[in-house]
Amino acid sequence: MSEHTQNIEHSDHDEAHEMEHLRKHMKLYWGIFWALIVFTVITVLVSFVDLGADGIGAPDIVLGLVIATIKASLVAVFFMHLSDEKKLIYVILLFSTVFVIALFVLSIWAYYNKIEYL
Amino acid sequence: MDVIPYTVKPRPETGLYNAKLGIWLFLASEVMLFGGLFSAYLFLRLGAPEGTWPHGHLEVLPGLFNTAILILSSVTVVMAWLSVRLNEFTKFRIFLGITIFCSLIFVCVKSYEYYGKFHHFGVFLKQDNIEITGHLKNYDEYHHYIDEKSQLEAKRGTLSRQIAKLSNKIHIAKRKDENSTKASEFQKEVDAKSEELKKVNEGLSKLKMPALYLAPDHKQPWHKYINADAKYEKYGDALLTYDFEGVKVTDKKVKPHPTKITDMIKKAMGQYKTPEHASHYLKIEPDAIKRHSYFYPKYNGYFAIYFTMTGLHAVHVIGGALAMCYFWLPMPGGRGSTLFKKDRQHFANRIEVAGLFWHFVDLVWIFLFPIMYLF
Amino acid sequence: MGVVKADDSHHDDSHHHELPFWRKYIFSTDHKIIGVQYALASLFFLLLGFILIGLMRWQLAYPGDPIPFVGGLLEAFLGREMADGGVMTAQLYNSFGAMHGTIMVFLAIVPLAFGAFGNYVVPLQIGAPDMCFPRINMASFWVQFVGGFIMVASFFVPGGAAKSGWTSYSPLANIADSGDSYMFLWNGQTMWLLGMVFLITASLLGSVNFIATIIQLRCKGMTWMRLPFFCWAQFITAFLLLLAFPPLEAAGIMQLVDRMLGTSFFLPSGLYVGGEVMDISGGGSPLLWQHLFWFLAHPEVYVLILPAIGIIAEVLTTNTRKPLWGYRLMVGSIFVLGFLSFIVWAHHMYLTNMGAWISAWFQTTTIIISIPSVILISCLLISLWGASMRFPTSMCFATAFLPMFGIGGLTGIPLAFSALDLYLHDTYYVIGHFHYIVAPGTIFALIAGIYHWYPKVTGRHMSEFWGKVHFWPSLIFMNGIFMPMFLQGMAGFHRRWYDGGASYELTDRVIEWTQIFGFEGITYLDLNIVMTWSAGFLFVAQIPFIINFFASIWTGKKAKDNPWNSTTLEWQTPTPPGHGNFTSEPVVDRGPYEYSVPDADEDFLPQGKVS
Repeated sequence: MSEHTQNIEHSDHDEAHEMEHLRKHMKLYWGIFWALIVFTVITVLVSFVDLGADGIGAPDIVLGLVIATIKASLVAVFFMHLSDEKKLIYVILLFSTVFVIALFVLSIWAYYNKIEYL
Repeated sequence: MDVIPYTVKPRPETGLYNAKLGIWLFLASEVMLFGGLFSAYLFLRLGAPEGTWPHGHLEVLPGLFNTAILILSSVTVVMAWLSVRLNEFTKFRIFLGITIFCSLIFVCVKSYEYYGKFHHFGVFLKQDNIEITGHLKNYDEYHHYIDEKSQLEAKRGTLSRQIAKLSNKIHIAKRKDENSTKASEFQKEVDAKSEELKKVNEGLSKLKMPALYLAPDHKQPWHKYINADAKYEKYGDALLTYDFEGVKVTDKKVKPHPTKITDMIKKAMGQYKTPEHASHYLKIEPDAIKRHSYFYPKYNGYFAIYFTMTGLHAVHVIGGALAMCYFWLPMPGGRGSTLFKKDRQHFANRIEVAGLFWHFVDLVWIFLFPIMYLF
Repeated sequence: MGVVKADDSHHDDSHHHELPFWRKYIFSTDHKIIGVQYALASLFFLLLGFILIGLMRWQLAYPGDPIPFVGGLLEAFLGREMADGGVMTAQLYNSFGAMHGTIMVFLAIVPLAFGAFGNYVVPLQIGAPDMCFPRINMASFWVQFVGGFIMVASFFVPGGAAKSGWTSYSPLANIADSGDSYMFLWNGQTMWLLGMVFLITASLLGSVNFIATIIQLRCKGMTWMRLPFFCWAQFITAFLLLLAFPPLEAAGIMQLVDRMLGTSFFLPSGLYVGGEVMDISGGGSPLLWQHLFWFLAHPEVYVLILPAIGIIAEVLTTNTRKPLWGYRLMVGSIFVLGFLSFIVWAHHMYLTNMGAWISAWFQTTTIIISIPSVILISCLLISLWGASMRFPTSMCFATAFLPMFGIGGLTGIPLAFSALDLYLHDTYYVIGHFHYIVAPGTIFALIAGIYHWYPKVTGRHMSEFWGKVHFWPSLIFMNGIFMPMFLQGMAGFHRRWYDGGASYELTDRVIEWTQIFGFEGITYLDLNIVMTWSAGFLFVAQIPFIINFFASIWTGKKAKDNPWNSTTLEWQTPTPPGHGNFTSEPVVDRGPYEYSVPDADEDFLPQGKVS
């Protein structure tokens, strides 16, 4: 415990600076909140507009997923503070992302690439 | 040397304290877990017969509301973390309290939605696998039939298990002694059970499914925008007049289903066609029915993945909420929020880790909402 | 401990007073106790899995004959429909086959290699006081225990344990064990799925702990390139478990939902069962199960083998008194191996009507992944060069591992090509191939590890004489079991025949394999008898081991703190290590394998200094 207290004393003036910094963050987070709400509403509106083609690759689905990805990135980058994270975390997430994509791409590829018997 | 280092302070080399690395590793595996489920979603959707992937079975509004609730709770949990770092205990408790409250609302809304689905009924006709959905009107009659059937089937199962067991005993007893008295006793029992089984089987064959009376919902499957035209071409006016084998429109008028806000939006955008006879009962003869069920997971591929994924997500929400309740409540011995005063940095770490998990839950929902509710 | 010290007074770990018995030995958070718990549980399961296959082998060699000694017991406990008059029925054969695979992979070898050795040795080798999250570590074991309990209990429910193979392919697994004579929840397949969900959860908890421990708790001076190879192997293994297991958990949950709520995730439309169309919605994909299953199960193969290679690296260097040859190369190789193992899975699925392009992808990656494997075994072999070797029992098993693993690996290469695999896939060839890797491969390595670390855990040596008595018959009879499988497999023997092919007309006409050598005598069918008796003798050969293992706790020769004159940190602790492992903070100042360093006083330089 003693070292911990020492640490606080040591960085007394840093603390004040950091507090200011943190308060700035608060505003940013509320900004992100409104951005997420707006994006959600946009997604809902997009789903009501008929953009033509049907099926799984339809433009409205693609658009909806792009917006969802943007929203997810906002949450990950700001709320989960990935914008300012250690390299190790990036590496771990990179691997899991690569493997998820591999699971998707290879299994769907196998789904479409079949031997056609006559 | 028996204190584990870096539980509070980060290891200089990695810049991380233990729990933070732990939670990120856990989240990486969660990404793979939901990745597996999303790939199942994709497979089910690709495998679904053309035009049948249900669309508009869910009310958008509760989903939208829940999305907003989760986003709000995500902000408040960050705020709670900042409050700990700014040494503002009251604010921390307010923010974390809001988060917990939000999770409670989320679960309530989700249960309401599930409840709604469990009371929605659907029938697949033998003819072309035509699907008719609505609300069951002869609820009691149907349930009487279902209950009786499942009871008889359970009885049949128990009896056949018992008979199998007894005949094993007979066999073993006879192996030792051909004329064993035990075996004949068992045989008597088997005979009695067999008689009973016969009765059960008779009862089952006598049991007849009642005709189903459906009050059609506004949203008939064939009025969904995907492939509505192709379906119309195939079935023509039958689609609007329910002119299918074994389906009869009764004269009796039913109070129209209350119009919901989402319906109004759809109407305004010209995508919503009200069937002419939506306000009539439909009588569907049992012989015409291929499958019938409430909107349970087994109803179709869509509800299977919908209930599985949202259910698993809800489990995560509940788990996260319980963890946050622990941090919110003050507990003796430096546990719960008492740790705030004892070791603020350690407590901040804990809130950060719980927050990371909570954001991940939010992140999963951000993808679930469009793929389940909208597209 | 270093510059940073956690204030952990509220942690239970730092309490110095004596803990009650149940906290110290049962619900313990000490990684050493948990390691021993894992070891005992998984050795029990190893024996159970072996007994199951032994009984199956009797049926293969002497189809229709009552099983000697235990036939009556089987009938009494599992029912007549399973073992009529002590004869193994097809049901029981399927059930034992499925459970043999499940138990061996998920309850015996992985927990022994990863849970037991990893838990006990890794924190010691990296100079840590314990695992990163001791309570999660405890939870991991007990969740595993529940999973194991469910698996064992499933033998005794009506209808017996799961019968759809350890791969549990749908739609078979969806419809198996359902119907009138089965119970809704307590039937083999559903319990298998429940058990698997527990086992997977345990693995996930364990792997998070391992990775965090190795990254965060390495002691002062223990840089990444000074990490003993065993820790590297455990590190990569943990990553494989962490990232490969969750898709199977998802799949397991979906199959559970399929069975319990009647969905059809894995059932196609219009499925006929017993002449009737099933009352299901359909639209699911049986191939989805296979993809999700093998997405785990291929990395799982490396989970089985990597810790074994890690153990071999430790045992070899200690007993050759030489540094590990190509340490950096080996570390690089397991990284590549770990990465590639995620993108080769569908080579288990060539029979599923795969198109040319996708099968070309998986053939290519499968062949590429053999490169790092060959590098690993080459490095281990080169490490032997010019050494003055000692041969304690651990070293015997370790050296035997090398050719056995080599045979297993090389026979796998033909299976990588879809043209050959289509013929060989459902034959005994495949069984022979992967058992060479796992049985005389991994299990030999694990036994080597037991002989190697036993003195550290108990403070006493296992008997060398009985160790040798254990080793030689094991080596011979292991080969007696698995070598004939290649011959049978290439002759086309299907691997799921429950009478070993006796009732199939064509099996009689397969030429006698001894004709290849110009004389007549033993037919392919007779090889079943050879394999069965080999299995029997292998079982007998394990008896000295079991007795030696338990008796040596009390009667073994007392061991010094560092009986093998090893360099790594675990040997610098008191024997057995106390709570917190090290009496003072260890500091590492050199690599892990500094044996026979010129100009040094002794032939080994300990990796670190512990007072």
